[in-house]
Amino acid sequence: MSILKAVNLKKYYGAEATVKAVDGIDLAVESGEFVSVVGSSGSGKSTLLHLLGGLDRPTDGNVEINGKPIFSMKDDELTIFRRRYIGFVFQSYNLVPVLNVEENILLQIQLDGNKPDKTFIAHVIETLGLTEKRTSMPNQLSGGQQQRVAIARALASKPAFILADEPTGNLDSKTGMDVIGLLKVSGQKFGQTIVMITHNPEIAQMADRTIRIEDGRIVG
Amino acid sequence: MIFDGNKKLLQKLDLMLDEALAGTFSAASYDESLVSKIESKMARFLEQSRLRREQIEGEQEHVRSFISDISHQLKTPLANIVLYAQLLREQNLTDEQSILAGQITAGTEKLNFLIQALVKTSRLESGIVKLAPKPGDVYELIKTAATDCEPLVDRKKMKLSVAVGTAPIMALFDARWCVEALFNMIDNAVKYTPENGSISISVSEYEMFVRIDITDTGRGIREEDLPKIFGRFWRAAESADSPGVGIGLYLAREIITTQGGYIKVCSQVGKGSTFSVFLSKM
Repeated sequence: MSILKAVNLKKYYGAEATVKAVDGIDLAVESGEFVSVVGSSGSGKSTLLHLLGGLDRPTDGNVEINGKPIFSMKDDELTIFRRRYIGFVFQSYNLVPVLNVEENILLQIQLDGNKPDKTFIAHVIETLGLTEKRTSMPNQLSGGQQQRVAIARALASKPAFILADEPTGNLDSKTGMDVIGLLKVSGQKFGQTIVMITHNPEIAQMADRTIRIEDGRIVG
Repeated sequence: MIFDGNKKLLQKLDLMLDEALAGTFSAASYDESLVSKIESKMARFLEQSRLRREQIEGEQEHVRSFISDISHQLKTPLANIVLYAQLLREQNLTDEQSILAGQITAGTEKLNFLIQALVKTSRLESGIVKLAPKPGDVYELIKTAATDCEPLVDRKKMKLSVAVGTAPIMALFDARWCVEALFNMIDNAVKYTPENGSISISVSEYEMFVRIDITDTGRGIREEDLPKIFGRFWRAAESADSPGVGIGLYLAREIITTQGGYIKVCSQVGKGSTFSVFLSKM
């Protein structure tokens, strides 16, 4: 079953649509798949990710998550939908500096007024090698460890899928391989669907499938 | 705006759902109220889901035992064919007859390999065997697998080199099964590399993983085929002339992922491929 589907997705900028950042993309991601999106800078891959995550509205076309067209929703509906169904991992880790590792991981679940599934969370923390760091503060962690916390946070709320935007952008190549390795292993373990944007071919190879974007279109 | 009564009701329903998710739900009240009616329906719904799950599990169990029955029942007659084919080849045969006998042996070996692999796969998938990853030296692991592969490598006059460091590199793996996975991957590299080609194995260490690279100078894999190579019984159209049945890589990946690792491939058509195995360190 496709968990995420883009239908004829377009995003044009400028008065007469002079910049076609995303130009008619059709895409389907199956449940449990790990897909990487690669392309040179300016190819439209970040715009595509923002559209898939409902962070930006398209000029035309729609995105369906679990069969629901997300851009038919009002802005405030979309915000809540996003929080419940999409896990984000960005280049910057965006951890709350005054909360420790575990509190950061639980924050989103608590924001939604839900009780965290403790066994599951402990399992996530263990898979990402953070058990000994549960009570550490973000500034006591290395970049790779901080990104692992960000991944654990995204997994913790059991989203429909995880969108990762250049997750290794701030990491050296070895640490980057490590972090994405854990992302991949967690995906396998928890049956999590992952869409990752990267310009690093070695990182992209770790996905089950690679989609190449050039000039706002899928080229392979 | 929600009225107080409604709020109480919604909180109760929220609690019911939490209990249902946790698997601890049971109907708390039996009276003429709507809540009690909903509780009973919820209990019935959960019971139905449970029965359906059990039914599916039962069917899976049938499939599993069917597979392992087939595999086991085939073993003995197969061993007999291998034995008698060998005895046949030891007779005074004409050239033509010995070619025919050779074909019987080759076909049987292929069938034997396939059944062995299927037995292992079905055991792994059905959870009959549980992998027990323990800390161990990755170099030792590679050495064992490489030694097992020597006859294959020699037969094709190939070079197999392993870059070994001085200090052991530790990772978590189930030695017996992991040797099997590495063997399958080296075997695969041998199959798809022409005579006189070479295979090199190297190890590098990361914070969370240990990486084993198996690089060959074979024909390489087309990019569109990369997602398919780990599929069961998948083989590239142009590999019809090479021996193999397309289960080795599937089994290798099952073994590696079951112990918390993963496999990555990088390939260039005409130049060769690198299969990287990542084993977890924690």
